[in-house]
Amino acid sequence: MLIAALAYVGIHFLVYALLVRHQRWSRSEYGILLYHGVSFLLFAGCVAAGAALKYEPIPVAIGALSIHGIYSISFLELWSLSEGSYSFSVLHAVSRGPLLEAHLGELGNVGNTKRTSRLDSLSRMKLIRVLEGHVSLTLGGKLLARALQIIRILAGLKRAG
Amino acid sequence: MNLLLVPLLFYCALIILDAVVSRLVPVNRIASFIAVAIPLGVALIAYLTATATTIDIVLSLTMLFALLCEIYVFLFTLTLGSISVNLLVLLKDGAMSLVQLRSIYEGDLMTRRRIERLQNTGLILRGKNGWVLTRRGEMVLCAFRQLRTFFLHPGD
Repeated sequence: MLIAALAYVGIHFLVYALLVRHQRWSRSEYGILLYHGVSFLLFAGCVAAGAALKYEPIPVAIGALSIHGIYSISFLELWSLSEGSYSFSVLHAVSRGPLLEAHLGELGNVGNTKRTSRLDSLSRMKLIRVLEGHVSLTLGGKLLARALQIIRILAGLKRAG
Repeated sequence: MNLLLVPLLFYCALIILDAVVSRLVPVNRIASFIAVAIPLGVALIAYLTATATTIDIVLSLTMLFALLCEIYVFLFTLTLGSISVNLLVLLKDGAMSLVQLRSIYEGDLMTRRRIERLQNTGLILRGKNGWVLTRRGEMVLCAFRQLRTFFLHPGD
């Protein structure tokens, strides 16, 4: 089953490289997430069926799912980082010649755009609400914020951004 | 012991050790995590090899440990660098006005913080004429560009 899992993710990647990436729907966050999410669910269904029919022991089924999980998370991280990370914008700006204080304004506009678009995304995902010029967390937002705070504390991270 | 619990126990040990090491040794966060994860991963493989019945099970449970490690790295790099995450954590203690948020996340300030982070990770450095890429920064930027080409992201 592990070899089958490796073959499956290999084929999934090849299909992306040869076909899917040329489709417009795959160039959005939602589209690429769907491509991996549906694949994982279908794969998980097959693996669960195999485990239920006792073709493979449960640890091996979990190993097969882990292979797809590692592949998808790595893929989506790389996709997301290369799509429009702030770090990339700064590195790109620096590569055009020494970055002077005077150039920071241009990058600052990128930052302002990101801040606004993040607020919009969080609002669309119902994690925040904006009312009369004030921003607050919804219940879902509060739960997520607490979970993220725990990760920050565990990982010993200071403030990000 | 149920073999499925073994990678989970090793993972819990990894989280605790990593939390301790990161506070005692102030180095690059991912490097310190890897430095703890690799020995624990090797110990896990050694334990599973000694106790599991088949190589398939050893590999499977190692894959599970690797997946859990990747999820943790993904989560803490997300909390480190994500503007959305930082906004959520900031709002945890109460509502803020858009004006306050704009001043905290003012474009120039955000840029300076990001530049500071890139300097701390050795990707850029401040020369006489401004910030420039280091060799490492050039390599990372090159990798970013190749990924953008592969994923067919819109051009710069």
